[in-house]
Amino acid sequence: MIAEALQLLSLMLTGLMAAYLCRHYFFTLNVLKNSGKPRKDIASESTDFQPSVSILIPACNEEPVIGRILQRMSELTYPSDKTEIIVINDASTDATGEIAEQYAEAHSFIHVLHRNEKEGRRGKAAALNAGLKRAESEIILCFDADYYPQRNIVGQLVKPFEDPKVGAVQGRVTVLNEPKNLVTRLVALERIGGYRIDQQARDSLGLITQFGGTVGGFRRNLLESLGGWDESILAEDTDLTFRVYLEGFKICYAGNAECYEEAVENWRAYWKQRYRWSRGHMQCAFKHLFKVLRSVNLTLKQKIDAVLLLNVYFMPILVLLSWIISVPLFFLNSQPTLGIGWAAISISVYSFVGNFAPFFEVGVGAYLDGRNRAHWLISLLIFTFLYNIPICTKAFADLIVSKVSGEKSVHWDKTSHSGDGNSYIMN
Amino acid sequence: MPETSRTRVAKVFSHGSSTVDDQPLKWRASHMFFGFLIATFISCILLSTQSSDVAFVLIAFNFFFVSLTFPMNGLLVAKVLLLALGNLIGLLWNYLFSLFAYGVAYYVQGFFNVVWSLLGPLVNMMWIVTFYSVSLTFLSSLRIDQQGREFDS
Repeated sequence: MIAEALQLLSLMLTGLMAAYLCRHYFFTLNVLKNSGKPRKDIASESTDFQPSVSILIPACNEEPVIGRILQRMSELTYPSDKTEIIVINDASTDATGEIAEQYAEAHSFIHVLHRNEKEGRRGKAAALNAGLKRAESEIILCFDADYYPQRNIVGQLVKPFEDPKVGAVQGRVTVLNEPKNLVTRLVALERIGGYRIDQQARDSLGLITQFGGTVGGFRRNLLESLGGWDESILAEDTDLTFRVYLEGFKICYAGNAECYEEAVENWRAYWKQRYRWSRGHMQCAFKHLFKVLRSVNLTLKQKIDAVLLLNVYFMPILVLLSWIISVPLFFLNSQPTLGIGWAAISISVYSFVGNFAPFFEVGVGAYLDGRNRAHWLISLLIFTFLYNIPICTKAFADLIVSKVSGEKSVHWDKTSHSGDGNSYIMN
Repeated sequence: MPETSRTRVAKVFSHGSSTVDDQPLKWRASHMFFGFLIATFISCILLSTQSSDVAFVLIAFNFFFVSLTFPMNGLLVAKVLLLALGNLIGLLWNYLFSLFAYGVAYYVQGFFNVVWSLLGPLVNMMWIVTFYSVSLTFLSSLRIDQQGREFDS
Protein backbone atom coordinates (compact mmCIF):
# COMPACT_ATOMS: atom_id res chain seq x y z
CA MET A 1 0.00 0.00 0.00
CA ILE A 2 2.76 2.43 1.01
CA ALA A 3 4.83 1.36 -1.97
CA GLU A 4 1.96 2.03 -4.37
CA ALA A 5 1.29 5.43 -2.84
CA LEU A 6 4.96 6.38 -3.09
CA GLN A 7 5.12 5.11 -6.66
CA LEU A 8 2.10 7.19 -7.61
CA LEU A 9 3.60 10.27 -5.98
CA SER A 10 6.92 9.63 -7.69
CA LEU A 11 5.22 9.33 -11.07
CA MET A 12 3.27 12.54 -10.54
CA LEU A 13 6.42 14.44 -9.61
CA THR A 14 8.26 12.98 -12.58
CA GLY A 15 5.41 14.05 -14.85
CA LEU A 16 5.56 17.58 -13.46
CA MET A 17 9.31 17.80 -14.01
CA ALA A 18 8.92 16.45 -17.52
CA ALA A 19 6.31 19.16 -18.22
CA TYR A 20 8.79 21.89 -17.23
CA LEU A 21 11.53 20.23 -19.21
CA CYS A 22 9.37 20.03 -22.36
CA ARG A 23 8.30 23.64 -21.89
CA HIS A 24 11.88 24.91 -21.77
CA TYR A 25 12.97 22.64 -24.60
CA PHE A 26 10.17 24.04 -26.74
CA PHE A 27 11.12 27.61 -25.75
CA THR A 28 14.72 26.98 -26.74
CA LEU A 29 13.83 25.51 -30.13
CA ASN A 30 11.42 28.36 -30.77
CA VAL A 31 14.03 31.06 -30.14
CA LEU A 32 16.67 29.17 -32.07
CA LYS A 33 14.33 28.82 -35.04
CA ASN A 34 13.16 32.43 -34.99
CA SER A 35 16.40 34.17 -34.12
CA GLY A 36 17.18 34.83 -37.77
CA LYS A 37 13.84 36.45 -38.46
CA PRO A 38 13.28 40.19 -38.06
CA ARG A 39 12.23 41.02 -34.52
CA LYS A 40 9.02 42.91 -34.06
CA ASP A 41 10.32 44.65 -30.96
CA ILE A 42 13.08 46.55 -32.75
CA ALA A 43 12.19 50.17 -32.18
CA SER A 44 13.15 53.06 -34.33
CA GLU A 45 14.11 56.36 -32.78
CA SER A 46 12.58 58.14 -35.76
CA THR A 47 9.08 56.96 -34.91
CA ASP A 48 6.38 59.58 -34.45
CA PHE A 49 5.09 57.73 -31.40
CA GLN A 50 6.71 59.54 -28.51
CA PRO A 51 4.41 59.61 -25.50
CA SER A 52 5.37 61.38 -22.30
CA VAL A 53 7.28 59.13 -19.93
CA SER A 54 7.80 59.14 -16.17
CA ILE A 55 10.76 57.10 -14.99
CA LEU A 56 10.59 55.97 -11.37
CA ILE A 57 13.84 55.14 -9.59
CA PRO A 58 13.30 53.90 -6.02
CA ALA A 59 16.48 54.30 -3.98
CA CYS A 60 17.21 53.35 -0.40
CA ASN A 61 20.84 53.78 0.63
CA GLU A 62 22.12 53.63 -2.93
CA GLU A 63 24.94 56.12 -2.56
CA PRO A 64 27.50 54.02 -4.49
CA VAL A 65 25.26 53.69 -7.57
CA ILE A 66 22.66 56.46 -7.68
CA GLY A 67 24.98 58.93 -9.42
CA ARG A 68 25.71 56.41 -12.16
CA ILE A 69 22.09 55.91 -13.19
CA LEU A 70 21.21 59.60 -12.90
CA GLN A 71 24.18 60.51 -15.07
CA ARG A 72 22.88 58.00 -17.60
CA MET A 73 19.36 59.39 -17.34
CA SER A 74 20.75 62.80 -18.26
CA GLU A 75 22.21 61.26 -21.45
CA LEU A 76 19.06 59.55 -22.75
CA THR A 77 18.23 60.13 -26.42
CA TYR A 78 14.49 60.38 -25.73
CA PRO A 79 13.27 64.03 -25.84
CA SER A 80 13.84 65.51 -22.40
CA ASP A 81 10.67 67.63 -22.65
CA LYS A 82 8.72 64.36 -22.71
CA THR A 83 10.70 62.74 -19.94
CA GLU A 84 10.25 63.08 -16.22
CA ILE A 85 12.60 61.28 -13.86
CA ILE A 86 11.46 60.76 -10.30
CA VAL A 87 13.96 59.51 -7.75
CA ILE A 88 12.17 58.17 -4.70
CA ASN A 89 14.63 58.59 -1.86
CA ASP A 90 13.20 55.97 0.47
CA ALA A 91 14.43 57.24 3.84
CA SER A 92 18.08 56.75 2.95
CA THR A 93 20.58 57.30 5.74
CA ASP A 94 23.51 57.85 3.38
CA ALA A 95 24.10 60.54 0.73
CA THR A 96 21.61 59.14 -1.80
CA GLY A 97 19.25 62.10 -1.37
CA GLU A 98 22.00 64.71 -1.65
CA ILE A 99 23.44 63.17 -4.83
CA ALA A 100 19.97 62.98 -6.38
CA GLU A 101 19.33 66.63 -5.46
CA GLN A 102 22.55 67.66 -7.21
CA TYR A 103 21.30 66.06 -10.42
CA ALA A 104 17.85 67.59 -9.93
CA GLU A 105 19.43 71.05 -9.70
CA ALA A 106 21.37 70.47 -12.90
CA HIS A 107 18.51 68.94 -14.91
CA SER A 108 14.96 70.29 -14.80
CA PHE A 109 13.41 66.92 -15.73
CA ILE A 110 14.89 65.17 -12.69
CA HIS A 111 12.86 65.38 -9.48
CA VAL A 112 13.50 63.92 -6.06
CA LEU A 113 10.80 62.66 -3.77
CA HIS A 114 12.06 62.34 -0.21
CA ARG A 115 10.34 59.91 2.12
CA ASN A 116 11.06 60.17 5.81
CA GLU A 117 11.61 57.25 8.17
CA LYS A 118 7.95 57.25 9.19
CA GLU A 119 6.59 56.73 5.65
CA GLY A 120 9.60 55.12 3.99
CA ARG A 121 11.43 51.79 4.15
CA ARG A 122 8.29 49.75 3.58
CA GLY A 123 9.58 48.04 0.49
CA LYS A 124 10.02 48.77 -3.18
CA ALA A 125 6.30 48.52 -3.95
CA ALA A 126 5.48 51.25 -1.42
CA ALA A 127 8.20 53.51 -2.81
CA LEU A 128 6.96 52.99 -6.36
CA ASN A 129 3.38 53.77 -5.35
CA ALA A 130 4.60 57.03 -3.84
CA GLY A 131 6.36 57.81 -7.12
CA LEU A 132 3.26 56.91 -9.12
CA LYS A 133 1.22 59.53 -7.23
CA ARG A 134 3.78 62.14 -8.23
CA ALA A 135 4.12 61.00 -11.87
CA GLU A 136 2.22 62.86 -14.58
CA SER A 137 3.06 61.06 -17.84
CA GLU A 138 1.19 58.53 -20.00
CA ILE A 139 3.81 55.82 -19.60
CA ILE A 140 5.42 54.82 -16.31
CA LEU A 141 8.82 53.15 -16.53
CA CYS A 142 10.83 51.83 -13.57
CA PHE A 143 14.52 51.26 -13.10
CA ASP A 144 16.40 50.02 -10.06
CA ALA A 145 19.12 52.35 -8.82
CA ASP A 146 21.92 49.89 -9.62
CA TYR A 147 20.95 49.65 -13.28
CA TYR A 148 22.70 51.23 -16.24
CA PRO A 149 20.57 51.47 -19.41
CA GLN A 150 21.43 52.06 -23.03
CA ARG A 151 21.00 55.67 -24.06
CA ASN A 152 18.15 54.85 -26.44
CA ILE A 153 16.32 52.57 -24.03
CA VAL A 154 13.24 54.74 -23.51
CA GLY A 155 12.48 54.79 -27.23
CA GLN A 156 12.86 51.02 -27.33
CA LEU A 157 10.60 50.52 -24.32
CA VAL A 158 7.75 52.81 -25.38
CA LYS A 159 7.53 51.54 -28.97
CA PRO A 160 5.40 48.46 -28.09
CA PHE A 161 2.79 50.73 -26.51
CA GLU A 162 1.66 51.72 -30.02
CA ASP A 163 -0.33 48.50 -29.82
CA PRO A 164 -3.36 49.29 -27.61
CA LYS A 165 -3.44 45.70 -26.33
CA VAL A 166 -0.02 46.10 -24.77
CA GLY A 167 -0.43 47.08 -21.13
CA ALA A 168 3.18 46.71 -20.08
CA VAL A 169 6.64 46.21 -21.48
CA GLN A 170 9.75 44.47 -20.26
CA GLY A 171 13.31 45.11 -21.46
CA ARG A 172 16.35 42.88 -21.24
CA VAL A 173 18.62 42.71 -18.21
CA THR A 174 22.29 41.78 -18.53
CA VAL A 175 24.90 41.69 -15.79
CA LEU A 176 27.33 44.61 -15.60
CA ASN A 177 29.79 43.19 -13.07
CA GLU A 178 29.92 39.72 -14.62
CA PRO A 179 33.73 39.31 -14.47
CA LYS A 180 33.82 40.08 -10.74
CA ASN A 181 33.65 36.50 -9.39
CA LEU A 182 31.99 33.12 -9.79
CA VAL A 183 28.68 34.25 -8.28
CA THR A 184 28.29 37.15 -10.70
CA ARG A 185 29.25 34.92 -13.62
CA LEU A 186 26.64 32.34 -12.67
CA VAL A 187 24.00 35.02 -12.18
CA ALA A 188 24.90 36.33 -15.64
CA LEU A 189 24.26 32.89 -17.10
CA GLU A 190 20.89 32.73 -15.35
CA ARG A 191 20.00 36.09 -16.82
CA ILE A 192 20.98 34.96 -20.32
CA GLY A 193 18.73 31.90 -20.11
CA GLY A 194 15.90 33.83 -18.50
CA TYR A 195 15.82 36.79 -20.85
CA ARG A 196 17.40 35.69 -24.14
CA ILE A 197 15.35 32.51 -24.32
CA ASP A 198 12.51 32.39 -21.77
CA GLN A 199 11.15 35.90 -22.14
CA GLN A 200 11.73 35.97 -25.89
CA ALA A 201 9.94 32.65 -26.39
CA ARG A 202 7.01 33.57 -24.19
CA ASP A 203 6.58 36.80 -26.13
CA SER A 204 6.75 35.20 -29.56
CA LEU A 205 4.49 32.29 -28.56
CA GLY A 206 1.87 34.61 -27.04
CA LEU A 207 2.30 33.20 -23.53
CA ILE A 208 2.85 35.01 -20.22
CA THR A 209 5.72 37.46 -20.62
CA GLN A 210 6.92 38.34 -17.15
CA PHE A 211 7.40 41.88 -15.92
CA GLY A 212 10.67 41.76 -13.99
CA GLY A 213 10.10 44.77 -11.75
CA THR A 214 12.68 46.94 -13.49
CA VAL A 215 13.69 47.93 -17.05
CA GLY A 216 10.04 48.02 -17.98
CA GLY A 217 6.84 49.89 -17.50
CA PHE A 218 3.12 50.28 -17.83
CA ARG A 219 0.41 52.44 -19.24
CA ARG A 220 -0.33 54.87 -16.47
CA ASN A 221 -4.12 54.49 -16.71
CA LEU A 222 -3.87 50.70 -16.52
CA LEU A 223 -1.51 50.84 -13.56
CA GLU A 224 -3.82 53.22 -11.72
CA SER A 225 -6.89 51.11 -12.50
CA LEU A 226 -5.07 48.10 -11.05
CA GLY A 227 -4.35 50.05 -7.87
CA GLY A 228 -0.60 50.30 -8.39
CA TRP A 229 1.87 47.92 -6.82
CA ASP A 230 0.65 45.53 -4.11
CA GLU A 231 2.67 46.40 -1.01
CA SER A 232 1.86 43.11 0.74
CA ILE A 233 3.58 40.99 -1.92
CA LEU A 234 7.35 40.56 -1.97
CA ALA A 235 7.36 39.79 -5.72
CA GLU A 236 5.32 42.84 -6.66
CA ASP A 237 6.50 42.47 -10.27
CA THR A 238 5.12 38.95 -10.73
CA ASP A 239 1.92 40.02 -9.03
CA LEU A 240 1.48 42.88 -11.50
CA THR A 241 2.30 40.57 -14.39
CA PHE A 242 -0.70 38.43 -13.59
CA ARG A 243 -2.96 41.34 -12.82
CA VAL A 244 -2.17 42.84 -16.24
CA TYR A 245 -2.97 39.57 -18.04
CA LEU A 246 -6.10 38.94 -15.97
CA GLU A 247 -7.27 42.43 -16.96
CA GLY A 248 -7.05 41.40 -20.64
CA PHE A 249 -3.83 43.20 -21.58
CA LYS A 250 -0.54 41.69 -22.58
CA ILE A 251 3.10 42.38 -21.72
CA CYS A 252 5.57 42.82 -24.56
CA TYR A 253 9.20 41.79 -24.28
CA ALA A 254 11.50 44.34 -25.90
CA GLY A 255 14.71 42.34 -26.17
CA ASN A 256 16.58 45.22 -27.77
CA ALA A 257 15.96 47.47 -24.80
CA GLU A 258 19.02 46.36 -22.93
CA CYS A 259 20.02 47.46 -19.47
CA TYR A 260 22.94 46.44 -17.28
CA GLU A 261 22.48 45.51 -13.63
CA GLU A 262 24.91 45.13 -10.78
CA ALA A 263 24.39 41.50 -9.79
CA VAL A 264 24.76 40.15 -6.25
CA GLU A 265 28.40 39.43 -5.53
CA ASN A 266 28.35 36.76 -2.83
CA TRP A 267 26.32 33.77 -1.78
CA ARG A 268 24.86 35.55 1.26
CA ALA A 269 23.42 38.33 -0.89
CA TYR A 270 22.27 35.71 -3.39
CA TRP A 271 20.35 33.95 -0.59
CA LYS A 272 18.65 37.16 0.55
CA GLN A 273 17.63 38.13 -2.96
CA ARG A 274 16.38 34.70 -4.01
CA TYR A 275 14.59 34.16 -0.70
CA ARG A 276 12.64 37.35 -1.35
CA TRP A 277 11.90 36.30 -4.94
CA SER A 278 10.83 32.78 -4.03
CA ARG A 279 8.63 33.79 -1.11
CA GLY A 280 7.06 36.55 -3.18
CA HIS A 281 6.49 34.22 -6.09
CA MET A 282 4.83 31.69 -3.80
CA GLN A 283 2.59 34.46 -2.45
CA CYS A 284 1.57 35.15 -6.05
CA ALA A 285 0.86 31.45 -6.64
CA PHE A 286 -1.55 31.42 -3.70
CA LYS A 287 -3.10 34.70 -4.80
CA HIS A 288 -3.52 34.10 -8.54
CA LEU A 289 -3.68 30.38 -9.28
CA PHE A 290 -7.44 30.01 -9.20
CA LYS A 291 -8.04 33.41 -10.79
CA VAL A 292 -5.87 32.31 -13.69
CA LEU A 293 -7.74 29.04 -14.14
CA ARG A 294 -11.11 30.84 -14.12
CA SER A 295 -10.05 33.79 -16.27
CA VAL A 296 -11.93 34.44 -19.51
CA ASN A 297 -9.16 36.74 -20.75
CA LEU A 298 -6.51 34.02 -20.95
CA THR A 299 -6.23 31.39 -23.66
CA LEU A 300 -5.67 27.73 -22.77
CA LYS A 301 -1.96 27.87 -23.61
CA GLN A 302 -1.60 31.02 -21.52
CA LYS A 303 -3.31 29.30 -18.60
CA ILE A 304 -0.96 26.33 -18.83
CA ASP A 305 2.06 28.62 -19.01
CA ALA A 306 0.73 30.75 -16.16
CA VAL A 307 0.27 27.71 -13.91
CA LEU A 308 3.81 26.52 -14.65
CA LEU A 309 5.22 30.01 -14.12
CA LEU A 310 3.37 30.55 -10.84
CA ASN A 311 4.59 27.24 -9.42
CA VAL A 312 8.18 27.34 -10.60
CA TYR A 313 9.61 28.19 -7.18
CA PHE A 314 7.98 25.08 -5.70
CA MET A 315 9.98 22.87 -8.06
CA PRO A 316 13.28 22.76 -6.11
CA ILE A 317 11.24 21.59 -3.10
CA LEU A 318 9.49 18.94 -5.18
CA VAL A 319 12.81 17.73 -6.58
CA LEU A 320 14.03 17.34 -3.01
CA LEU A 321 10.84 15.45 -2.17
CA SER A 322 11.41 13.14 -5.16
CA TRP A 323 14.91 12.46 -3.93
CA ILE A 324 13.66 11.61 -0.46
CA ILE A 325 10.89 9.26 -1.56
CA SER A 326 13.22 7.49 -4.00
CA VAL A 327 15.17 5.97 -1.11
CA PRO A 328 12.23 4.07 0.45
CA LEU A 329 11.08 3.17 -3.05
CA PHE A 330 14.46 1.57 -3.66
CA PHE A 331 14.16 -0.59 -0.56
CA LEU A 332 10.57 -1.47 -1.42
CA ASN A 333 11.88 -3.00 -4.65
CA SER A 334 10.28 -0.51 -6.99
CA GLN A 335 13.20 -0.34 -9.36
CA PRO A 336 11.23 0.24 -12.60
CA THR A 337 9.56 3.37 -11.25
CA LEU A 338 12.74 4.39 -9.51
CA GLY A 339 14.74 4.17 -12.72
CA ILE A 340 12.38 6.45 -14.61
CA GLY A 341 12.02 8.75 -11.61
CA TRP A 342 15.72 9.15 -11.17
CA ALA A 343 16.33 9.76 -14.82
CA ALA A 344 13.83 12.60 -14.64
CA ILE A 345 15.20 13.89 -11.36
CA SER A 346 18.74 14.00 -12.64
CA ILE A 347 17.66 15.86 -15.75
CA SER A 348 15.60 18.17 -13.61
CA VAL A 349 18.54 18.94 -11.39
CA TYR A 350 20.06 20.53 -14.43
CA SER A 351 16.74 21.73 -15.75
CA PHE A 352 15.89 23.91 -12.82
CA VAL A 353 19.28 25.40 -12.33
CA GLY A 354 19.75 29.06 -11.42
CA ASN A 355 16.92 31.23 -12.56
CA PHE A 356 15.06 28.05 -13.45
CA ALA A 357 16.46 27.91 -16.94
CA PRO A 358 17.78 24.51 -18.06
CA PHE A 359 21.39 24.13 -19.13
CA PHE A 360 20.50 23.89 -22.83
CA GLU A 361 18.46 27.09 -22.58
CA VAL A 362 21.40 28.94 -21.05
CA GLY A 363 23.71 27.37 -23.63
CA VAL A 364 21.66 28.42 -26.63
CA GLY A 365 21.11 31.88 -25.14
CA ALA A 366 24.85 32.35 -24.68
CA TYR A 367 25.46 31.08 -28.21
CA LEU A 368 23.00 33.58 -29.66
CA ASP A 369 24.67 36.32 -27.64
CA GLY A 370 28.07 35.27 -29.00
CA ARG A 371 29.28 34.48 -25.47
CA ASN A 372 31.54 31.58 -26.40
CA ARG A 373 33.57 31.56 -23.16
CA ALA A 374 30.54 31.76 -20.91
CA HIS A 375 29.58 28.22 -21.93
CA TRP A 376 32.38 26.78 -19.85
CA LEU A 377 30.54 27.56 -16.63
CA ILE A 378 27.22 25.99 -17.51
CA SER A 379 28.00 22.76 -15.65
CA LEU A 380 28.54 24.77 -12.47
CA LEU A 381 24.95 26.02 -12.51
CA ILE A 382 24.05 22.85 -10.64
CA PHE A 383 25.45 24.51 -7.50
CA THR A 384 23.04 27.42 -7.76
CA PHE A 385 20.22 24.93 -8.17
CA LEU A 386 21.30 22.98 -5.10
CA TYR A 387 21.55 26.29 -3.23
CA ASN A 388 18.01 27.12 -4.33
CA ILE A 389 16.62 24.02 -2.61
CA PRO A 390 17.11 25.30 0.97
CA ILE A 391 16.21 28.84 -0.11
CA CYS A 392 12.86 27.83 -1.57
CA THR A 393 12.18 25.37 1.24
CA LYS A 394 12.75 28.05 3.89
CA ALA A 395 10.66 30.55 1.93
CA PHE A 396 7.81 28.06 1.69
CA ALA A 397 8.01 27.15 5.39
CA ASP A 398 8.06 30.82 6.41
CA LEU A 399 5.12 31.59 4.15
CA ILE A 400 3.06 28.76 5.62
CA VAL A 401 3.90 29.90 9.16
CA SER A 402 2.91 33.48 8.34
CA LYS A 403 -0.36 32.28 6.78
CA VAL A 404 -1.18 30.11 9.79
CA SER A 405 -0.28 32.83 12.27
CA GLY A 406 -2.16 35.45 10.26
CA GLU A 407 0.86 37.71 9.97
CA LYS A 408 0.25 40.27 7.24
CA SER A 409 3.35 42.43 7.28
CA VAL A 410 6.24 41.54 5.00
CA HIS A 411 9.85 42.41 5.60
CA TRP A 412 11.63 43.72 2.52
CA ASP A 413 15.26 42.58 2.71
CA LYS A 414 16.93 44.98 0.34
CA THR A 415 19.85 43.92 -1.85
CA SER A 416 22.85 46.15 -1.18
CA HIS A 417 25.09 47.32 -4.01
CA SER A 418 28.78 48.07 -3.84
CA GLY A 419 29.04 50.27 -6.91
CA ASP A 420 31.93 48.16 -8.23
CA GLY A 421 30.07 47.84 -11.51
CA ASN A 422 31.29 51.34 -12.42
CA SER A 423 34.67 49.90 -13.33
CA TYR A 424 33.14 47.82 -16.12
CA ILE A 425 31.51 50.71 -17.94
CA MET A 426 33.24 51.67 -21.18
CA ASN A 427 32.07 55.02 -22.45
CA MET B 1 48.16 44.34 -28.97
CA PRO B 2 47.16 44.26 -32.66
CA GLU B 3 43.48 44.67 -33.20
CA THR B 4 42.15 41.47 -34.72
CA SER B 5 38.73 40.94 -36.16
CA ARG B 6 37.71 39.17 -32.96
CA THR B 7 38.78 41.99 -30.64
CA ARG B 8 37.00 44.50 -32.84
CA VAL B 9 33.75 42.54 -32.68
CA ALA B 10 34.13 42.19 -28.92
CA LYS B 11 34.51 45.96 -28.60
CA VAL B 12 31.32 46.51 -30.53
CA PHE B 13 29.48 44.22 -28.13
CA SER B 14 30.78 45.84 -24.98
CA HIS B 15 29.77 49.31 -26.10
CA GLY B 16 26.27 48.53 -27.19
CA SER B 17 23.99 45.55 -27.18
CA SER B 18 25.51 42.34 -25.93
CA THR B 19 23.79 40.35 -28.63
CA VAL B 20 25.18 39.45 -32.02
CA ASP B 21 21.89 39.43 -33.87
CA ASP B 22 23.26 41.84 -36.46
CA GLN B 23 24.37 38.63 -38.15
CA PRO B 24 21.31 36.51 -37.49
CA LEU B 25 21.39 32.78 -37.14
CA LYS B 26 20.18 30.82 -40.11
CA TRP B 27 18.01 27.84 -39.13
CA ARG B 28 19.65 24.89 -40.88
CA ALA B 29 16.82 22.41 -41.34
CA SER B 30 18.83 20.27 -43.75
CA HIS B 31 21.62 19.87 -41.16
CA MET B 32 19.05 18.86 -38.59
CA PHE B 33 17.42 16.34 -40.90
CA PHE B 34 20.77 14.79 -41.75
CA GLY B 35 21.71 14.79 -38.08
CA PHE B 36 18.56 12.88 -37.14
CA LEU B 37 19.34 10.29 -39.81
CA ILE B 38 22.80 9.76 -38.33
CA ALA B 39 21.39 9.73 -34.78
CA THR B 40 18.88 7.04 -35.78
CA PHE B 41 21.65 4.98 -37.37
CA ILE B 42 23.85 5.29 -34.27
CA SER B 43 20.89 4.44 -32.03
CA CYS B 44 20.29 1.19 -33.93
CA ILE B 45 23.93 0.21 -33.45
CA LEU B 46 23.81 1.13 -29.75
CA LEU B 47 20.65 -0.91 -29.14
CA SER B 48 22.20 -3.99 -30.68
CA THR B 49 25.62 -3.70 -29.06
CA GLN B 50 25.20 -2.01 -25.66
CA SER B 51 23.24 -2.69 -22.48
CA SER B 52 19.84 -0.98 -22.32
CA ASP B 53 21.02 1.52 -19.65
CA VAL B 54 23.94 2.76 -21.73
CA ALA B 55 21.95 2.70 -24.97
CA PHE B 56 19.11 4.73 -23.42
CA VAL B 57 21.46 7.48 -22.21
CA LEU B 58 23.30 7.75 -25.52
CA ILE B 59 20.12 7.73 -27.61
CA ALA B 60 18.72 10.54 -25.46
CA PHE B 61 21.99 12.43 -25.87
CA ASN B 62 22.01 11.96 -29.65
CA PHE B 63 18.52 13.29 -30.26
CA PHE B 64 18.95 16.12 -27.78
CA PHE B 65 22.32 17.11 -29.25
CA VAL B 66 21.12 16.99 -32.86
CA SER B 67 17.99 19.05 -32.20
CA LEU B 68 19.85 21.80 -30.34
CA THR B 69 23.16 22.12 -32.16
CA PHE B 70 22.64 21.02 -35.76
CA PRO B 71 20.34 23.98 -36.60
CA MET B 72 23.15 26.37 -35.61
CA ASN B 73 25.72 27.96 -37.89
CA GLY B 74 28.76 25.88 -38.76
CA LEU B 75 29.93 23.14 -41.04
CA LEU B 76 27.87 19.96 -41.11
CA VAL B 77 31.06 17.90 -40.98
CA ALA B 78 32.11 19.62 -37.76
CA LYS B 79 28.74 18.88 -36.16
CA VAL B 80 28.81 15.24 -37.24
CA LEU B 81 32.32 14.89 -35.81
CA LEU B 82 31.14 16.43 -32.55
CA LEU B 83 28.23 14.00 -32.43
CA ALA B 84 30.55 11.04 -33.02
CA LEU B 85 32.98 12.34 -30.39
CA GLY B 86 30.12 12.72 -27.92
CA ASN B 87 29.12 9.10 -28.43
CA LEU B 88 32.70 7.94 -27.95
CA ILE B 89 33.05 9.94 -24.74
CA GLY B 90 29.70 8.62 -23.53
CA LEU B 91 30.73 5.02 -24.17
CA LEU B 92 34.10 5.53 -22.51
CA TRP B 93 32.54 7.31 -19.53
CA ASN B 94 30.01 4.54 -18.96
CA TYR B 95 32.65 1.86 -19.40
CA LEU B 96 34.98 3.50 -16.85
CA PHE B 97 32.18 4.04 -14.38
CA SER B 98 30.95 0.48 -14.69
CA LEU B 99 34.49 -0.71 -13.91
CA PHE B 100 34.56 1.66 -10.95
CA ALA B 101 31.15 0.42 -9.79
CA TYR B 102 32.17 -3.23 -9.99
CA GLY B 103 35.40 -2.47 -8.15
CA VAL B 104 33.73 -0.59 -5.29
CA ALA B 105 30.80 -3.02 -5.09
CA TYR B 106 33.29 -5.82 -4.48
CA TYR B 107 34.26 -4.20 -1.15
CA VAL B 108 31.03 -2.45 -0.03
CA GLN B 109 28.22 -4.37 -1.64
CA GLY B 110 24.79 -3.40 -0.32
CA PHE B 111 25.26 0.27 0.38
CA PHE B 112 27.00 0.99 -2.91
CA ASN B 113 24.13 -0.57 -4.88
CA VAL B 114 21.83 2.09 -3.45
CA VAL B 115 24.26 4.92 -4.11
CA TRP B 116 24.99 3.72 -7.63
CA SER B 117 21.32 3.29 -8.52
CA LEU B 118 20.50 6.75 -7.26
CA LEU B 119 23.48 8.63 -8.65
CA GLY B 120 24.00 6.79 -11.93
CA PRO B 121 21.75 9.00 -14.07
CA LEU B 122 23.17 12.12 -12.45
CA VAL B 123 26.72 11.05 -13.22
CA ASN B 124 25.72 10.60 -16.85
CA MET B 125 24.25 14.08 -16.96
CA MET B 126 27.62 15.47 -15.93
CA TRP B 127 29.38 14.42 -19.12
CA ILE B 128 26.39 15.33 -21.28
CA VAL B 129 26.21 18.89 -19.93
CA THR B 130 29.96 19.36 -20.04
CA PHE B 131 30.30 18.02 -23.58
CA TYR B 132 27.36 20.12 -24.72
CA SER B 133 28.97 23.25 -23.21
CA VAL B 134 32.30 22.58 -24.93
CA SER B 135 30.56 21.90 -28.25
CA LEU B 136 28.70 25.20 -28.01
CA THR B 137 31.94 27.00 -27.28
CA PHE B 138 33.40 25.51 -30.43
CA LEU B 139 30.37 26.38 -32.58
CA SER B 140 30.18 29.84 -31.04
CA SER B 141 33.85 30.49 -31.84
CA LEU B 142 33.21 29.55 -35.46
CA ARG B 143 30.31 31.97 -35.58
CA ILE B 144 32.27 34.89 -34.14
CA ASP B 145 35.24 34.17 -36.42
CA GLN B 146 32.90 34.20 -39.40
CA GLN B 147 31.43 37.53 -38.29
CA GLY B 148 34.89 38.91 -37.73
CA ARG B 149 35.92 38.03 -41.27
CA GLU B 150 32.79 39.70 -42.63
CA PHE B 151 33.50 42.72 -40.40
CA ASP B 152 37.04 42.93 -41.86
CA SER B 153 35.86 42.72 -45.42
